[in-house]
Amino acid sequence: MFHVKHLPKNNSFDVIVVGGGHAGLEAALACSRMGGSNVALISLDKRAIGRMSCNPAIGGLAKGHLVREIDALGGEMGRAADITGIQFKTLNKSKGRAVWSPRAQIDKKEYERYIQQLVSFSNVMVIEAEVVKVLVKNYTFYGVILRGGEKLFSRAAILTCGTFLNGLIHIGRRKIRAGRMGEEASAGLTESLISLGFTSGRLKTGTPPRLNRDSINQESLKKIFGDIKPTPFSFRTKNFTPPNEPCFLATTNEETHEIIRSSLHESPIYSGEIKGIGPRYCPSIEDKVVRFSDKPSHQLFLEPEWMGAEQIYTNGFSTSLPENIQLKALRSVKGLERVKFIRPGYAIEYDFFPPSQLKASLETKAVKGLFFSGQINGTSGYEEAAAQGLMAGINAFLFTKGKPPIILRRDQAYIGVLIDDLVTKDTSEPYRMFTCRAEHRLVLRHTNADRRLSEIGNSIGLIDDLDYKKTVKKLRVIDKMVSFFNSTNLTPDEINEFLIMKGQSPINEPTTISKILSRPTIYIKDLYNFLPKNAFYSDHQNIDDVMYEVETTIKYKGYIQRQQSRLEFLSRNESTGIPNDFDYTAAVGLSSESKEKLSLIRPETLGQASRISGVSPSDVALLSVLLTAF
Amino acid sequence: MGAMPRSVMGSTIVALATPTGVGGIAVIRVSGVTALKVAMKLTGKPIQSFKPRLAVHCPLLNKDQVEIDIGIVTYFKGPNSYTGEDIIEISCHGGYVLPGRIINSCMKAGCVPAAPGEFTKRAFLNGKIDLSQAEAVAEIISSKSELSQDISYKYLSGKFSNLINNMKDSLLSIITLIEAELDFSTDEISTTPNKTKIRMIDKVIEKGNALISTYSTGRLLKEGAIVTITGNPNVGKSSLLNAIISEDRVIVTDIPGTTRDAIEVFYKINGLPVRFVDTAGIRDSNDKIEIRGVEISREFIDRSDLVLWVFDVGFSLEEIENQISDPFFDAPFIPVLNKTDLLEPRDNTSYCSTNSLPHIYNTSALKGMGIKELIKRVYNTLVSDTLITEPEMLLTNSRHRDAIEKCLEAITETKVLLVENIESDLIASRLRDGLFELDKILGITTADDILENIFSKFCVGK
Ligand SMILES: Cc1cc2nc3c(=O)[nH]c(=O)nc-3n(C[C@H](O)[C@H](O)[C@H](O)COP(=O)(O)OP(=O)(O)OC[C@H]3O[C@@H](n4cnc5c(N)ncnc54)[C@H](O)[C@@H]3O)c2cc1C
Ligand SMILES: Nc1nc2c(ncn2[C@@H]2O[C@H](COP(=O)(O)OP(=O)(O)OP(=O)(O)O)[C@@H](O)[C@H]2O)c(=O)[nH]1
Ligand SMILES: [Mg+2]
Repeated sequence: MFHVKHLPKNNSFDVIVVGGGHAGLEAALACSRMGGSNVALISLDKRAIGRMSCNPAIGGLAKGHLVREIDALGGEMGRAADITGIQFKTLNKSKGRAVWSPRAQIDKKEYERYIQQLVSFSNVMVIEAEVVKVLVKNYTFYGVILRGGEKLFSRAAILTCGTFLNGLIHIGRRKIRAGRMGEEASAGLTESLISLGFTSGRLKTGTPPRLNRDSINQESLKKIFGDIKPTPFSFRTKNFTPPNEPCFLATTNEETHEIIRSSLHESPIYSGEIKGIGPRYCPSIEDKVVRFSDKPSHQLFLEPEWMGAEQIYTNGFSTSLPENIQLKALRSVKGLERVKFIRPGYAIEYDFFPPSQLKASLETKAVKGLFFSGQINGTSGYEEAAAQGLMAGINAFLFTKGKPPIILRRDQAYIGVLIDDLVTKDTSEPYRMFTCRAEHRLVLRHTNADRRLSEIGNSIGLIDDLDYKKTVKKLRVIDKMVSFFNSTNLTPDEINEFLIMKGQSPINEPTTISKILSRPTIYIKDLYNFLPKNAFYSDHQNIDDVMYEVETTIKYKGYIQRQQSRLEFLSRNESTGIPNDFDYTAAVGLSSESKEKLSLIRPETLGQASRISGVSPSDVALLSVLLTAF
Repeated sequence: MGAMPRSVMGSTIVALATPTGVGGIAVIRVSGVTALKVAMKLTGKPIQSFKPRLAVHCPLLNKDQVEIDIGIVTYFKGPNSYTGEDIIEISCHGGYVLPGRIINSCMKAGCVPAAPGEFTKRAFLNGKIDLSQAEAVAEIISSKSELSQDISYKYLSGKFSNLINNMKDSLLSIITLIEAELDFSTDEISTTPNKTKIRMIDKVIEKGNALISTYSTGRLLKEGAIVTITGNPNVGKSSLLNAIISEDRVIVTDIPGTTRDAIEVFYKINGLPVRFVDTAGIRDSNDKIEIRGVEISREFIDRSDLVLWVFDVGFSLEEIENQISDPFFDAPFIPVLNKTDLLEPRDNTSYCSTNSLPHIYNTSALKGMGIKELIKRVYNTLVSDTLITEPEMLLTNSRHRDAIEKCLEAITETKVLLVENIESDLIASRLRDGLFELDKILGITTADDILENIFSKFCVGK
């Protein structure tokens, strides 16, 4: 299936994508779907295309939002997860609708198989090779050199090298050059980029051990299932009846912690052997034991890596301790007394390129036509990688057509927040999406990603007209219903008995359904009986989704308005452009730190400038005067 | 290159720093890169004559190099100057003509006239002062009392910014707690009970309320309190005002209806600026001018911080009590019984012995009796206890008060949500609304119109 088809004439392509991880795939598929007739996907190992490096799950807090947005734009990750997921759950249900997040456990093998099949049926040509050099002339990209010397040409390329650039695995004191366990690292590409003037940095991440299922005493562990009524990621998924495969909950204890504590000197992180900076929010078990020393136990979720898998992922036990210590520590956990490893946990260090070297389109500032996306930009996570891959793919393709890039705004999508953060903030640790990064959080709900993005997806040919029509129809039904609720009254006679029963104050005069619905403990389903028959004129098939959106729209309206007015005030800065050659050094009032950062990052708008760390409010006030008053 | 800052600071500006025409000495300020050159041309002295912060006696030449005055020129070297640029300050003789001629020769030497507020704007742009400090300068310029200048200096010294920052920090730590719970699973972080969060919010509200409660005093100090004197014709309102200010400023006659218009007199009690307003006596009348006078006095009464309601001894005690138990206006008032010199000592005690509330003040405008006590009472009523204990900080700017109030409104609302355990994304959003209000005070992302407003309030030369 993956034989390299014949290389095109002159080895020349529309777009070259380097890397077959989640970023590379979305990029390549987007280019091909937008009309690229020959897109190259170069990857070190063609059998590893679409591989999930770490946990067998997609989505989760804030990441679920990203997947929904990728889907609404016409990306692949959501559909792939729906097809290959084995347990679905919406997280954060108790904390408010804007932060509800879908998550699924995935059959890793199926996921790879599905993705590889998809690629084989597309216009993407898979090339198993290692890119060692980027060819640039006049600050413009024109091709790559493969190990072995062969050259491939294109007007645009997207680098998505993940954790592979000078990857170095640590297990205790043992070091292995690799991009992932069992896969070669990539050497030379970093150096080629540095010689072009790029700056690189070093980050690290870790992965927990994989356990042998038969060695686990499953009876003694609590089984955890997903939602009975699962929600799919994709707006396009119909008739959704996925499996509900359980995972198991184990808990560490004082003995476990003691074993780890007494072996800290053997952890390369603690002995200082790993120089790269790791994520604070995804701590290794060593970190957890040290930092939360008052916590007597930590939860471990034992997740099957595929349907009926013998290989179990130990979620919560990421580590780089020596293998024997890992094993000893885990065997102190109830249910894991006789546990055996399929593979120990490890940490990996790799090169990344600080993304302040990129424009908001993900094109590099230094080299025209060269785009970066995924972990190479200092992010971590499949979803973050896929989101960037999709945008880089779209923009690289638009670039080859001489069209302007698509840049999502921060009030439009988490993807917009992600990329804006990347290109304006200096990441000192791997960047992961959080909902609090999105100041427009209340409007960026996962359930309305279609409203926010499908039109764009359709306009660039990633969402087909049929699907788009369905979306438009659904949105229209929602709008109609909201305005019906806004304009239809219930009388005191009709509703007061119910309100009093609910412990709510009765109404004195006819009141709109919306007003009643915006009371905290009243829900749409409570009102079904009181609604006139024609309230449900819709025979829309997603009636539940529709009702949920109507309810949320009404309940969140007041809060969103206030959020909006606050942000509008600030967004005046978003529309204030800063000329590219603005001389910050001449702005006497700026602090020297601000001058340095601003000169380096060269924000495109005042809004961007205000989000740069180290640039203070008064610096922004000052810039605003300089930009507008003179 | 896009050297915008350079073009801003490129020009050297000049303006009169003292009020036009007033005073024997005028001060002219020049700020910008060529300030020293201007000094040389203006005085005909070599550059070495001017040392930083050294006052130099020298001739001042007109644009044709003819000496027109002798003055003092002081050089302030940037960045250690008010604007952060080189400044020269020229003290010359005042009046309407001479300063203008000197400004002319400065312009001949390369200066351009400063726009309103431009000196402060430059100070702000050069990082010499922050936004709330820039506003404070505007207030000092327009402030009417020494005490209020003192408050503005406190703003200027950053005390106010510290207080708001302090509130902001407390609010931020609550937001942080809630945000963490939204973005991390309970396994990753320990959650904070809602009760604790409510307690933290209460503390912020307390701080905010403490600041707000100083606002009315702060405003009084800045703008001056309005004290209107009302009462029937001929009871001695005008005489009382004259007695209070110990000056015959208002016409007094024995003909009822003498005062026809409202007469405003500015007077300071212990540094507290007060605008006493004498008004036409209230009575039914057909005289058009008098009707209009009564209308005007009603307008003043409605805007008053305090009213002195004057009666004379022609009124019986019952009458007075009747009237003051049902006042025809809303403002707080002090009832005053005037012309007590006409009373027999016995009658006097009968008036005084009434325990009816509020206490009636006995005065004789003619003999100057009871005036001191009345003044004291006016002062105490106007000024809340806060002033007497000399608070750290008084809120004087209504934009700041509104922002703090809005902040408190938003975060107070979240308490209800926390009690009911409503969606925490909404709680977080309301708290951020609150934080945003505080940000507005310190000028986080200053909207240009606010800035422009502030600067346009400045006088030229400051
Ligand atoms: C050990 C480990 C632990 C992780 N732990 C976590 C975690 O706990 N939480 C989390 O959110 N995320 C974690 N991740 C990160 C997550 O897997 C990645 O963020 C995500 O998969 C990155 O996707 P990507 O497309 O950028 O790169 P990858 O999925 O890494 O793909 C890189 C691709 O580039 C190809 N490639 C690289 N260099 C070259 C070259 N020179 N020439 C040709 N092809 C090349 C490779 O063959 C590969 O196909 C972990 C990753 C690893 C490896
Ligand atoms: N004996 C005595 N006469 C006073 C006193 N105060 C005022 N008068 C006299 O009362 C008369 C009226 O005084 P005004 O001060 O003009 O009274 P008014 O209330 O301002 O009068 P209108 O402006 O006409 O409303 C004058 O003849 C004053 O001399 C007082 O304390 N004792
Ligand atoms: Mg009078």
